[in-house]
Amino acid sequence: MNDIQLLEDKFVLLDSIPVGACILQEDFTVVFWNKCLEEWTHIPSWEIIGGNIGTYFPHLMQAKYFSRFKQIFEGGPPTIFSAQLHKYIIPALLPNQQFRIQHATVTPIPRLNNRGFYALLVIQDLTELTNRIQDYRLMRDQALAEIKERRQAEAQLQQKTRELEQRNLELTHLRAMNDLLQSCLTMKEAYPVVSQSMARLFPDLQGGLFIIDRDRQLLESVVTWGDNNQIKTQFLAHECWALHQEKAHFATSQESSLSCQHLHVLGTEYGCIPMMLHGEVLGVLHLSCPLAEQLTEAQQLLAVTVTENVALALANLKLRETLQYQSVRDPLTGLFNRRYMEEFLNRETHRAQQEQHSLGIIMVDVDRFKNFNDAFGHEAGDRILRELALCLQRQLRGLDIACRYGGDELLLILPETSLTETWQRAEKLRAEAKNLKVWHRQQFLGAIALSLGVACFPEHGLKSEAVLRAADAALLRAKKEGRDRTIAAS
Amino acid sequence: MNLTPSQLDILQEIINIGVGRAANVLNEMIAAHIRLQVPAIKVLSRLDIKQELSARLRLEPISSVRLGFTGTLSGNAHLVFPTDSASKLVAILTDEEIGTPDLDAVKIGTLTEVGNIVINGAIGSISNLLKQQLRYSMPAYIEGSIEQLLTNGSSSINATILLAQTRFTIDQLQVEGDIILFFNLGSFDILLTSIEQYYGEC
Repeated sequence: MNDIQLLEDKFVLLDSIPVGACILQEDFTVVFWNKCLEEWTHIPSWEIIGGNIGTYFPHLMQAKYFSRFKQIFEGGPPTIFSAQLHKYIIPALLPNQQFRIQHATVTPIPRLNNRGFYALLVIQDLTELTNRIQDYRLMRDQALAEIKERRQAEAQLQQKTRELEQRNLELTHLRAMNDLLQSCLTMKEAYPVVSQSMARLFPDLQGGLFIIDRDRQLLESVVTWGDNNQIKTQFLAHECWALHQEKAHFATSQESSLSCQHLHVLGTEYGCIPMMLHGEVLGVLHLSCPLAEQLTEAQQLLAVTVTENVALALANLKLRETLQYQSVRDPLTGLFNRRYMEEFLNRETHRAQQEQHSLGIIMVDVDRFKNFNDAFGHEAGDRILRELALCLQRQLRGLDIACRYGGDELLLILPETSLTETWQRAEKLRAEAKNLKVWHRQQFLGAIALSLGVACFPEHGLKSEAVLRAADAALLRAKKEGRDRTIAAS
Repeated sequence: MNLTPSQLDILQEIINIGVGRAANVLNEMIAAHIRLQVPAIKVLSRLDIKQELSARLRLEPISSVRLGFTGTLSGNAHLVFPTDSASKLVAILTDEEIGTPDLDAVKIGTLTEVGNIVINGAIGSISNLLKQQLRYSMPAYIEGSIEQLLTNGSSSINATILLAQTRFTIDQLQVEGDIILFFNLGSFDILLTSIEQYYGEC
C-alpha cells in the first residue's frame, strides 16, 4: 500500500463532513481531496490526487500563501485564511455562477513516518453567512438612514415651530406697540412706546430712534434702548447710507457692506432703516448689536416691518399735531386764535372763581396801524403784527397766553394776576414795544406805540364777557385820551 | 520574576524578529506598506497585567485572538486590538471605509486572521529559540475581561506574563494603531535557559 492509499484510509472520515477538506504534501502535491471538494470544484479526487495543487489553482503559489504554508509544513501553528481577505482559497462556483465565499484553517499534521508535516486545509462555506451579514448591514444602514432622516425632519419641524412661536410673539409685541401708538396724542408720547417695544422685540440689540429736523439735514436721537454707547445722539443726513439710498441698510458679518459714518465703533453688525411716508423722510430707526451673527435675516425683516409701523404712527401724530396747532393758532402771528382764547378765558375765570384769585386781561392795539398799512402796504402791517406777537410771547410767564383778538388787536390773559400787576405788565409791554425796530424791505417802519386796556376778574365782572368788555372800554378810553398809554377799567 | 536587561534585550529581539515576519506577511496581503514598531517588552505577574492593560483598553470586555500551545513551553498567546485600532486595520485590509467599529462574523474572521499572523510570527520565533516543536490549539477569537482571558486555560495564579506592545503604522494612509500581545506562561525557566544558551552562542 502506498502513502496515498494509506492516507485515504486514514482520512476517509473527512468524506462524511460538510466542509471542504484536502491534504497537501510539502511539495504542494495533493494527497487527499474529500467528497465535499469534489462537489464544489467538480474535480474528482482520482484526478487531482498526486497532482500539484498549483496546476489547478495557480494563485496558491503566490508569496502570500506560499510563505504561510511553509510554516505549516515545518509544524508551525495553525493558519487562518479568512473569508473577507481571501474570498475563496479554492475557487468553486455556485449554481448562480458566484464563487463560494470560504474561510479556511490550515493545520499541520504529522506525516505517517513522523518526518515533517502535511498541511490539512479545512474550508468552511461562508457564502450564506456573508450574504446574510450583507443583507443585515443593508437593512441596518437603511434603518439608520431612515432614523437620521426622521430625526432631521423632527429637528426641522421643531425649528419651524420655534420660528413660528417667535413670529407669533413678535406679532403680539408688534400689535401691542401699534395699539399703544394709536392711543398717543403727541409724538413725544410715542417715543417711549417705541423704545419699550423695540427692547421687547429685539432683546439682544440696542438702538435709537432719530427724527429729522425741518431743514432735513440733522437727525437727532429722541429715544434709545439697550446699551447705546456706540450711537451718536446727532448725525447729518448725508452720513447715513439708509438715507442716501432711501432704503434699509444692513451691515452684518455674513455680508460685508459699507459702514455709515455716524457709527462710533466699526465692525459691529447694525442696521439703519429710514422712516418714510409718501416719499417724505421722517427719520431713521437704528439697530446695532455688539456680537456677530445676531442680526439675522428674520430680524432684519422684522425691523423693516416695525419701522414701517412706527413711521406710519409718527406721521399720523405729526399730522395730528399740525392740525391741532392750526385749529387753535392764528396763522399770521402764531398766537392763539380768538376761538381758543374764549375757551381758555372761560376755563380760567371759572378756575379763578373756584380758587379765589384774580385774573388779568390786557387788550393791546397798535396806534395808527392804518397809517403803516397805507404808507408801506399790508405786508408791512403784517410784519409789525408778527414782531409784536413775538414781543408779547417774550413777556409770557407761567400760565399766561397771548392771542390775536381781531385785526390789529392782541390780547394777553394773565391767570392768577392782580389788577396792579396786570397794569405793571401792560406798562412794561408798552415800553418794550417802543424799542422794537421793525424793518420791511430795507425800510425802517418807525417806532411802534401801543394803547392798552387793562381789566381784572373779579373787580370788573364775574363773567369772562364782562371782563373783556371792561378791558375793551379801557382800551377805547386810552385811545380817546391821546393813545400810547395804559388805562385800567374803572 | 525579574529579568536582567540583557535577557530582556534578547527577548525583545526574538519577539521583534517574529513581529517583523508578521509584518512581511501582512504587506504581501495589502497594497499599502504596513510598519510594525519594535515591540516594548515587559514581564509581569498576573496581578500587574490588569493594571497595565486597563489604562489602554479601558472598557471591558476586550476582544482577543488566542492561541494555546503545549510542549516544552506551555501557555497561551493573546493578541488584543483596542477597538479603534481593530476597526482601522480591518478597514484597510478589506479596502473599505473606516466605518462602524462593531464586528460581525465576517469581520471577526478577518481580525482572527490578522491576529493569527502576528501570533504565529512571534510564537514561531520563540519555538525557533527553544529548538523544540510545540503543539498548538486552533486559533480562536474570544471576548472577555482581562481576568477571564488570563484564567482561560490552565494557568495558575503564579503564572508569568510576557507582554509585548507594538504599534502599526501605514504611512500612505496616515493610519496607526496599537497591537498588544501577551503570553501567559506556566513556567519561565525553560525560556530563560534557552535565552542563556542563545546568549552564550552570541
